[in-house]
Amino acid sequence: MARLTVRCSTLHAARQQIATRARSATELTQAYLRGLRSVEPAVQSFIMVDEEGALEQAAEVDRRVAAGEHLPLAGVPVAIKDNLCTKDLQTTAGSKQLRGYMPPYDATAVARLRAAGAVLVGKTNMDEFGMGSSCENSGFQPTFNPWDTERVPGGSSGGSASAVAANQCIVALGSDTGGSIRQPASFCGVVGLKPTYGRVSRYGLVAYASSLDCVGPFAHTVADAAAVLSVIAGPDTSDATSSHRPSEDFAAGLLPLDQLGSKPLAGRRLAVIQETTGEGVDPGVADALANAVSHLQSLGAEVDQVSLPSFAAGLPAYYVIAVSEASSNLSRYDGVRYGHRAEADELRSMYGKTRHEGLGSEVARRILMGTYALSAGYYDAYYKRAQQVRTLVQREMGAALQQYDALLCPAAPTPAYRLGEKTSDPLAMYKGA
Amino acid sequence: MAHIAVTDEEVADWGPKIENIVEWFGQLQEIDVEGVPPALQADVEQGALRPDEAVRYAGELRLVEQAADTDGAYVRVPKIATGADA
Repeated sequence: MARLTVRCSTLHAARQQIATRARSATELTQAYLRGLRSVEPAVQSFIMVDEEGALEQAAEVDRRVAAGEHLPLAGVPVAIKDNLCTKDLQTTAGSKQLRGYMPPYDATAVARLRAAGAVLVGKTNMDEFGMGSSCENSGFQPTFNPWDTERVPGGSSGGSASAVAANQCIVALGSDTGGSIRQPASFCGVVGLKPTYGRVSRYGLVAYASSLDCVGPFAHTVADAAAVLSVIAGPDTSDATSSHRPSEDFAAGLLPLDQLGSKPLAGRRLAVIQETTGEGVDPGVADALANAVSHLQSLGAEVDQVSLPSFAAGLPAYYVIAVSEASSNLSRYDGVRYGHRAEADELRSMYGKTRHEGLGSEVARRILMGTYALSAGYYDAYYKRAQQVRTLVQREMGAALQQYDALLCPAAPTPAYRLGEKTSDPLAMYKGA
Repeated sequence: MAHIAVTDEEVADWGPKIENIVEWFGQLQEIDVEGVPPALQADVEQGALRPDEAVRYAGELRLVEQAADTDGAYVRVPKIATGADA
């Protein structure tokens, strides 16, 4: 498919244009909305585009800039994954259960972007309630990978990844519970950052697994991702699990090329996680990792291999924990106070029918498995045990990070696969292979 | 317990898929977790308390309006079946 001609490929370029008044936020937004519309039928990144709202926001940004306000993200068009609450703008979390739901408030990450002058262009497609790795579990539509529209963009933040890759916006927000920012970023060839848990407030993020959910940015460059993180990170009294550590300028350590010596990584010790490079990893992915290692070595880093035997158990442990926490978090979708409500004469059948009609099969299956894993007689064998394995994984990872500055691994064992390839076998989808 | 109605077709289709996945979870049984505490708290920092003051949410009625069936400040739902109804 034809790529869009780039208007402003990076946040930095957009900031320059607006700061020097070379372009207004309104002009920049109009240009991006035109481009967004022209490519949208081919990729379907968005569940909802808010043109009117975007232009109003852009006009407001122009007023504030003219009044001398310094806005770190002035006029930057941003797309928001549809599981982040946006005030008075439909938020569905990719589910028919929440079709038409209008939150009365902005998620903290969204509010912080608005305060910084970003322009929200729309809500992006996702696997329903974050449950999926391809956007094929969206309750509304699939999204197509802009690099090859017969392939998936990844998931669950597939719409945000494809929107950035297709230049429908400059940056986007997604969420990551078990790879849902990192894997679509890899599949769509953009930067995706899953911050440390607690770094960004989860207030206003539709909960999937509360001990794992993280909000994070998609961008074309690491510097752009850092700029967004600086704005959205930091303590929030509305989220008791948010870190007390204040946000910082995460781009401050990113020096321009002309200020770096020839071996900028001299003295750095890195290690490839052995268990992520063997069987089951596509040769192309293994090659890409090997090339990255060579490149890092040429920049002066020492790159070893490290074994983390608990790693393999991490995936089933993650799924047990995630489905268990999800079964609890999704019990609120009962049709009583908001969302879809089925016709029924009796309350409990209303619950059953509502949830049957509103929730997709993958979501229903995960709720059933999670309910089972938490039930009396099975809690110890499943949820508790998975949390113990989680401690083992944390200890091993922590020990490795005492020895090394960073650990390296592929974001996914394969490149983007074709639509329909894994939809009949959920376990294959979980494993990614 | 999950409060999701399922059709016979769904039971037939989902049963094996769920069984497959739960069997895959079984590999966790082979790991030695003797004496390992479960990681039940994701947030490691303490002291996330706020003053014990009641705060009234200004948008109360706005929230109630979201419900499918309301009566003033109340949300209306179908009655719950009891033994007396049988």
